[in-house]
Amino acid sequence: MAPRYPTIQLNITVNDRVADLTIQPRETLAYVLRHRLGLTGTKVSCDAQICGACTVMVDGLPVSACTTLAVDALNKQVTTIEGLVTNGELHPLQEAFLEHSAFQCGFCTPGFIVSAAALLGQVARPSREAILEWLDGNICRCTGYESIVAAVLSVVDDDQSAEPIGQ
Amino acid sequence: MVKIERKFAEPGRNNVPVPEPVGYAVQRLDGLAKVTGTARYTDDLTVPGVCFAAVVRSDYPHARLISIDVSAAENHPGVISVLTTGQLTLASPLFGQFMQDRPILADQRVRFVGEPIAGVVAETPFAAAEGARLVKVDYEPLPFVIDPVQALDEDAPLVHESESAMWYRDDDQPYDRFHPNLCSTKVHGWGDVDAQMETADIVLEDWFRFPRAFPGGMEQYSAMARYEGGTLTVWTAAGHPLAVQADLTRCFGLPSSRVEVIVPYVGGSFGGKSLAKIEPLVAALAMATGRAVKLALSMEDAMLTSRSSGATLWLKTGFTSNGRIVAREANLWVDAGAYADTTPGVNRAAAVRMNGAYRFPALRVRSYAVYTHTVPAGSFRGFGAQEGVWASEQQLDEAAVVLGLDPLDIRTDNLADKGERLWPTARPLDSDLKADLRALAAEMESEPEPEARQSKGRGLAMSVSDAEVPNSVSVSIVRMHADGSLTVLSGSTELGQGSQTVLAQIAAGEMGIPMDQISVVQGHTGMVPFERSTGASRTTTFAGRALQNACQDLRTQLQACAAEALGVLRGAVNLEAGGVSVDGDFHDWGSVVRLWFGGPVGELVGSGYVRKVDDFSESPPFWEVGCVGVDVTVDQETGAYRVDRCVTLADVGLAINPRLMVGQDAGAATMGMGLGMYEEIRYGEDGVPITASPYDYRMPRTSDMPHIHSILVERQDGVGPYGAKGAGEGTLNPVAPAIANAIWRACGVRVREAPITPERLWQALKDRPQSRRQQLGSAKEAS
Amino acid sequence: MISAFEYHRPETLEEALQLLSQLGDEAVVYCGGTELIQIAKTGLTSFKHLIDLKAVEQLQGIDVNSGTIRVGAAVTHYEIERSALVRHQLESLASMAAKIGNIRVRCSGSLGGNLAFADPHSDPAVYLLATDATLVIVGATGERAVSVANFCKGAYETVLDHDELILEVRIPLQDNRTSIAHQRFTVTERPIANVACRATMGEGLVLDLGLAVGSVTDIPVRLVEIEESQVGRSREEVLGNIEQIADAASDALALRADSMGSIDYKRNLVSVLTRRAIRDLFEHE
Repeated sequence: MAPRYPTIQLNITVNDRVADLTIQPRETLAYVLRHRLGLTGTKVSCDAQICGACTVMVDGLPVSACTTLAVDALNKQVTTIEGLVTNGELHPLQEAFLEHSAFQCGFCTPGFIVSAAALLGQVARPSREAILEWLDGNICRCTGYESIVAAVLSVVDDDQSAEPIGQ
Repeated sequence: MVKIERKFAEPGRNNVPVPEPVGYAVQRLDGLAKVTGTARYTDDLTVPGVCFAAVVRSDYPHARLISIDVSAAENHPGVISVLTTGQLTLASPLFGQFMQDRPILADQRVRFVGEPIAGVVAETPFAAAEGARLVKVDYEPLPFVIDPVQALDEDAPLVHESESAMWYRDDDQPYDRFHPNLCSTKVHGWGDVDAQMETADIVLEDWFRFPRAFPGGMEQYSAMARYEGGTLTVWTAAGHPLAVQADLTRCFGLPSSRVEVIVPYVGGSFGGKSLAKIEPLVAALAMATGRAVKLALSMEDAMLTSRSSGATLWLKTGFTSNGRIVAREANLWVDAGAYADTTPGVNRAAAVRMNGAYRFPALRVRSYAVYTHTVPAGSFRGFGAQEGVWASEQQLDEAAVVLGLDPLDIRTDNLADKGERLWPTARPLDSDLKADLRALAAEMESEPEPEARQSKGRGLAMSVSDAEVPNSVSVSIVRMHADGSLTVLSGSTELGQGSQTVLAQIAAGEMGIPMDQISVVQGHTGMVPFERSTGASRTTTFAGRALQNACQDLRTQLQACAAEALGVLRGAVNLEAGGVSVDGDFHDWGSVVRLWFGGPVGELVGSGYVRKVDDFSESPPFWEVGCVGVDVTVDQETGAYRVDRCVTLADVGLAINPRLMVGQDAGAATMGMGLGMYEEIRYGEDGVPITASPYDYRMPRTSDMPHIHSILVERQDGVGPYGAKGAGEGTLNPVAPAIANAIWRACGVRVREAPITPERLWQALKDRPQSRRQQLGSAKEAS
Repeated sequence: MISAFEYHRPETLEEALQLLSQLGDEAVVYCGGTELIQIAKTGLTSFKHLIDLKAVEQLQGIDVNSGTIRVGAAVTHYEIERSALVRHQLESLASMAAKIGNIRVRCSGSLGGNLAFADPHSDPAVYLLATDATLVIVGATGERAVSVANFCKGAYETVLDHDELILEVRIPLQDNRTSIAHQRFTVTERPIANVACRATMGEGLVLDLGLAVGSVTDIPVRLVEIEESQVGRSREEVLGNIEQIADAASDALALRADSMGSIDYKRNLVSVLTRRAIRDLFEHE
């Protein structure tokens, strides 16, 4: 027997595509993205708005999809990691993360990239300090962060990239 | 800023040629999938008809289960089944690799807060969670013990009833005492410690504590299981798919070939994903319901599933007045938690690794792994090394202070030489440790020593671990396709460390073909060959050598096939990069395959093995070395402090991919800071963990980041490919004691309990003796 | 897992208030959800109705009139942090807001939501207490103004009736004789202790002082006796008294030990943060 719960119609725009869904109001944005729209690039880790793995943009601002109700995205533009690739072209941040090897296991990576993309949308040329402060709410257990900060900085200013690595 | 420095001491001395792209910072093979969000992890996968599980967990550290009322849950809309242990059909209700002692679901007794009692399977995750809340468990609380030292008191509450079956013996030395709460013991040492200690000019004796910690890979435990057509398939975030498979075959009485464990992308392990964790439960629920079942734990529940052991340590070391160690005696109490998991191995390693590569005329370490009513301890990066190194590297610094010696000198004076055996059966040291430590110190000294009057200090520490795993076997398969591309099959798991890329680099180098022609298949027990584990920093060394051997086998076959197909003697076929030449005509590998099969079809398969013979006959296979120096600034008013600068040195033989290597070291340094500064799973007096939540468990963040300088020492002196040896754990172990040593220099207090939280440091500052001399006086008195 | 509920999204204040009285205590209001969604997930709270206030126009906006800066209850911390008006008129409010939680918390969490949740570990609460802010509360029977000092009754407990909500926060605009300092100490994201201090100087003397301590007791506390003892004193005198002030501040409170720290440690933090806040205000012209 399928459970009966209150439902609601949700018209939601994700990565420029409109979806009309019948959902339960208690569904989080992360649940709707992952379970209903198949957008599994948004990861859930702490489920408590601490780690930032589930960061998506809602109208350009970063939010924790794990702690945001999907109904909050009503009539708003949601952008996920999948939405940063346009016409097959990687977002400059995605290129930079590759170039700087700014990830290992990759689980926090979508959250970092989306969070950094939101920063660049808010502040055109953020300083290193601004980047550190903005990303202080994203946890990476693998890299030790420097390669991530270097990747973001390289998008801001090509002359300020990290020191060359290896051979 | 991470700065990388590669040190080639005496390049070419070993005369091991390094074929491109080995040694180059090539981009990761999994990079594109990871930056675009298309890398699928276990919880991203689904199968038709999948249903969802939730777990009812114990609220008590120790209790008898009087009754479990599942009726309300069973009647809840959407709930398919609520299962307790009695309803599971199992060949064995217990699992575990070292010991089969952990119940899939609790039977009559619970032994830690968070122990699974029942599994609820439902059509939706919502219904499963609601069902779990409706299960009513009646407990009869029983006395419990949380502290491993107290757990060995005569009247301590017992964790297990049938004590003898619960004791894992991994050496045959006599033990001086037995207690039913003992999980395992290890005695390590030699010589007459008591007599040697008498000859010491000073003796330092102290207690130390290292915390229980959460490995904290960003992906929490998740698994999905399906039993169909007589085959059990389990998708899981596991580091050791073959160990999971072994547990599943035992629990369900199935042959290995009918248990498929599939590991997709994994979101970090750091030891946390070693061995089976939730897989037996998810598989049991799938088999009981006949449905595909998925379970993804929250971070809180993951923290109630596994953690590191931590340890309480008593350490006594005697020195001559010029700083030579004459004897050491140590006791370790390693907290196993409620079930063994890897603790017997961690316990053994802790006893050995704490002593690094210093010379001890006499040594006696007794390490007790003790059951407590806490979350079962499993592996954590460093595997027992952090706990002991925390104590040992601080005590060496204390001795240096008492004797007026330089912290560097007291270490180099006691370090064994390259080629020396630390004990008669140990592989000779494969590293020049004095040169390593001096290189680290030189880098630290490139900036002026911070001044104590500004509450700044510098500290260093090192660790040398026997990178030992019992039965350390690797098998590799390579498939040369008719188009000249190559598939590598390896049982090692890509956890984020970059093994996929490193294996591809080795294969590319061996076969002389470009990286983009190579794919590496891992994490599918139905397809990949045996691999002992992805742990003990062994993949590059073991899986890498097995892969080299497989490529060698493949090249030999290709040579023979070319000779046969071209009608020449084998000696006329010259092996070259990317193919063979015969009479000056070059034939790439693909054309050899096509020629031999007589058309654009077929493939040649090479295999390679590593077992305990030849280069690998001695234990340990290599010594994992890490040296760390830090500068800190302390805010003496609040006890807060920051690590301003961190230099790490890893002695890696050869960095197959230096960028991935320093990524590991920078990550290890940062994780070490977390353990030294913040991370701890603390228990309250009620036996409930206090800090087992993302709010209270503080991991390092960007604002903690120091300037990191990573030094790689590459003397090509390891048994791995081209002289490589394992790394990635070594630079974690010394971070916490290096911080403690730096704090001593900054403000004259010694904190022996990790993590050094601001409050602990503030408390120590408050209790600080009037002067350093006074503190040193008390240290001398102890002698 | 959040228990099932029905969702309501009023677009006017009247609609919101009507829903509140109609649904009674089966309803909760939602305005960012950074705390509410978390405790709902753990099962610590459940509700049949959720009234989402974010579409209510009257709860939005930041403006200034007659010496007061008005911040709508639904305005997010990030909006405060980035508001040119706030940066210009009350810089310390913007910099306080910029320290809350992390960027995602600031982008969803609202000022009104933070206050209504009454978490003892709140930076806005201690800041607004020191700055003599007032909350305008609105209910079926009309509006009432409550000073921040009288708003919290205990941990997670306020004077709000179940059919009331916060309409806006009014902070007296400070003239150029007044400066405000906010100090906090954290290990995790939430403050272990925080102190806010506001001083108005005239002819070299303290005309008015506000000193508030937060996070170490159930509700933030104004230290009125200390404030009064320093009024009329010169900058140098206050700095000369700094140790006594800091000690008095830490002695004035009935602290409680918890997972964030012992009583002794919290007492020390209050003392240190008080000293630092006073130095921030009095060491520079």
